[in-house]
Amino acid sequence: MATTPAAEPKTNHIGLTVIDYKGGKTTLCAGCGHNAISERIIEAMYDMGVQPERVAKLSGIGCSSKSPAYFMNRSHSFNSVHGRMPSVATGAMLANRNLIALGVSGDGDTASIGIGQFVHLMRRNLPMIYIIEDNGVYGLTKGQFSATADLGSKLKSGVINDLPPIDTCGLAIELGATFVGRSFSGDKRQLSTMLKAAIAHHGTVMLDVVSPCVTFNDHEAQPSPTNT
Amino acid sequence: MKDHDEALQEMSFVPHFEEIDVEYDPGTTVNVTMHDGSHLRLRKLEEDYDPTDRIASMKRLSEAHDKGEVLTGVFYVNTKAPSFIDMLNMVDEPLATLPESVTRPGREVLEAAMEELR
Repeated sequence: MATTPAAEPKTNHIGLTVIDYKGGKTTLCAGCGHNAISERIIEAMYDMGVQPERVAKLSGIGCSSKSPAYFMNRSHSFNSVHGRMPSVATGAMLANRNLIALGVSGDGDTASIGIGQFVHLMRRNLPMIYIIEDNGVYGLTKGQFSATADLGSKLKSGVINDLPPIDTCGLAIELGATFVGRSFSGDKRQLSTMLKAAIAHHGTVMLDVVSPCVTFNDHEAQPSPTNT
Repeated sequence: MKDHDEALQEMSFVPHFEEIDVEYDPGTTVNVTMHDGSHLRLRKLEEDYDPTDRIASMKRLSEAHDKGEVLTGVFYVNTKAPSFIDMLNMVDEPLATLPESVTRPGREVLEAAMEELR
């Protein structure tokens, strides 16, 4: 009796399967938007045929900055000090311009402790993709507001945010970043397309990706709830 | 220290949540219901939006803030600006692979420099 040969796994144009772009199993909360972003990064890198060994994953501190462990485990990776990932990225790219630098940061890592480094990264137009996984809170330290939290946001304890948010996209454009966009972690089509365009861009890409925190921050941003 | 030890959150069981997926067309808005039932209003840039106009991109972001909307899409692109690496005239090869002959100036270079300073 003839047996049917096993189907060849699907590969991209450099002959790799999507498995070659996977990372470790996530330890983030179920439903966290950061996991969806990791999936889109895997998809985009696979679709664009990026050699994993050319990628340098860089991050700071926070839930977001843990996430590079959950994608592309064949790539280089550097988990830096809180808010200091831009310096490490700059050094890595100057030492080897053939790398593709992919920075993953959070709103706290970027807009508070790392704002100084962020500002100078944006004005230098270093070739790298800088993703902010933006949930408006410090998840690892149990949910304090970050500098991107919406005015009037309320913690479960009842504390209200009285400070206006920093718009990291507006800041990046003002300072000289050459590819700036915002998406939502659950918008697969838009985020995937933006990531592919980001990989093709030569210069600083700054993507602010709004990412729901299931444990500490779900908040009303003030709009009236009516679809148009 | 204990005087300022205020609990921010009540630590308890973290239930399993499904990821929130959205799909909406360019030029439209969608209200996303978050895990606790609150809403986030997203507006996607229209397809004919010109991302090469820096001033217009800043204006669009400000308008979205005033409306309480989270504007999404690629706001600004500039493909002509030189990168930091180009500005610094970095070599193509990784620095770690460069031989000593090109990274260490010879004795004659040091002598010429010293001569200039005399």
